[in-house]
Amino acid sequence: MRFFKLSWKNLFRRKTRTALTLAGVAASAAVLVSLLGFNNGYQNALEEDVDRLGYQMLVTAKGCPYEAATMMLSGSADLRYMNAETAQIIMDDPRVDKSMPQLIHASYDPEREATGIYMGVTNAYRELKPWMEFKEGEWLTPGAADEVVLGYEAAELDQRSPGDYILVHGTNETLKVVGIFERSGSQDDAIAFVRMETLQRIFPRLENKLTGIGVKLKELDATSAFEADLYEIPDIQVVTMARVKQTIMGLVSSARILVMSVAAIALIVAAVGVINTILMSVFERTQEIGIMKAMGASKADIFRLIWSETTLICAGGGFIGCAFALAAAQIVESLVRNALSYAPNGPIISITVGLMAACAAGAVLLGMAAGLYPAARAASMRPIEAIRKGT
Amino acid sequence: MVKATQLSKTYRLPNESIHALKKADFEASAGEFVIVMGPSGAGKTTLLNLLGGLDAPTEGSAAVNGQTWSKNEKERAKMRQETVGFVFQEFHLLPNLTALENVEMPLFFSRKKNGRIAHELLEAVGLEHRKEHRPPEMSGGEMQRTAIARALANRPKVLLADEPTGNLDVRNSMAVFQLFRKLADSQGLAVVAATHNAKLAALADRVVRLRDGVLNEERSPA
Repeated sequence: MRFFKLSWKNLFRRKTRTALTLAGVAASAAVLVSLLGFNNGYQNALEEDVDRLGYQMLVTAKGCPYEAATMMLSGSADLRYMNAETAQIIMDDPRVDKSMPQLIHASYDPEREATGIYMGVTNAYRELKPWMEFKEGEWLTPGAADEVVLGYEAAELDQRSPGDYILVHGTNETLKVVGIFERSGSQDDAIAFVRMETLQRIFPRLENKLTGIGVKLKELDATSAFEADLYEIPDIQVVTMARVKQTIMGLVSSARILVMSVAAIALIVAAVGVINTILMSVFERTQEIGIMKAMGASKADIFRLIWSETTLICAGGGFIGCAFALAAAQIVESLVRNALSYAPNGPIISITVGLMAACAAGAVLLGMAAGLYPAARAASMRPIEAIRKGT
Repeated sequence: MVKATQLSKTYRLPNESIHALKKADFEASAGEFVIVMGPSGAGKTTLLNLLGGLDAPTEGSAAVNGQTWSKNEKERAKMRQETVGFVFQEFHLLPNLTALENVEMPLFFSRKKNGRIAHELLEAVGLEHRKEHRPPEMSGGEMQRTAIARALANRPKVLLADEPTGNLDVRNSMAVFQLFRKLADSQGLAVVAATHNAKLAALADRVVRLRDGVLNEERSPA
């Protein structure tokens, strides 16, 4: 304790130099905390975004998904479908937590020269996507066959409100609009949602058919094994969200290596700065160290004294840097968000207490490492030479 | 109390060897105040450094309280703590510490309980009222008296003072040497002080003279 007091007083002898060194360490610590915070936050936010899709994998009939999408949008009747029996096998698997069968049908109306995209769903849609909020109205009434809920853009296009009726494209069927979703920013905005049975009744050739099933598993770890098992079933293909995530994270990780390198360089620069400052101060105090030895200070005493100074300066810089990073997190967040081509919705800089504690501890360790050489140098000075050099 | 036997120190330079001290025999017993006189470069500082274990002799040996200085730096540091107090011409107080903290410093290194030792020492040198002042706020005389109090903190057996009045006026110089006299008489301290000032020599028990590294007894105890 006394050593720290003496070291503390020594640091105040050259206030400007100490302040500048402290600022250097603090800046490095702030950069480190921000970068690690970004590392954590970005990954979490991205995962959250993918998780908001509601399901971890989408099982569809075999074929090129782009081709299928094009055919759907152009109103072709030749979409590939999976049959209800195959779907049932998947939905009955004990590893499945929730499943959402979906039947997508694009219907072209030659009179209106427009295509409507309809999705036949069950109540599972609401369970898997509970965050889809209603701008107006509500979800499909149980048992009511002729109702429709419109995505935000679908409603805008036809200028519909709850209570209005819509004419199903290419047919004479009408459906009552019961709800309109808020904008979600996803593909669901352009879709008209009806009950599976309703869609199959209006388009009888879709009976017993599905476009795909969104699947949420009980255990996330089981994704790969489940996916492998699914490929045993003929004529289906699986798109896992884990793979989507992997692709995005792959892009992120190359950027991450770059930022971590910057952080490492910042730390090295800080450490060299601290070594330089303390060494300079040791040389300036050569005579003083000699006098202390004449007063009975041992090598270990001098080592501890100088080592404490370095540790104190780094610990101080670490704490200031952490506090600064926390205070500036919002500003850094908006800067990073503007710089990124794809930024997830959640907070992308996540500075936790654990992260700050780790960085502060890292700064103390850095100080201890940086202090070794100056402290050893000071401790090894011979008293008479130290006294003489100073005169 | 402090004894040197055939003590020699040679500094080897690239082209020459400087014999700073040549086979010096010296002794100062408890309660004795000895003054070392001689011109600059005569070897006064070398003698004091060797006696106090700050430097190692080329030949011969030095001992304090019957114990010869070890070659091991750790043991030397311990022995310095326990037996020797140093006073320098330049005072060498730590400028960022108060007078009290400066006096406490040797106790801090020897891990001795401070208690009121530092206060008592400052009182003994007449500086209790200046204890919270830092060296830049003190006069030369006050700084040197603080340095003497510091040298006494670990209750040494020997006090070694190298030109302690070199930076002081006549009045303060006299006060410092009177203090040495008092310490030798009242506490049985062996005091060895180097000085140029012949007027101060009257306060000492003995004066030894150094010239070109050779030590001669000049005056027997009065």
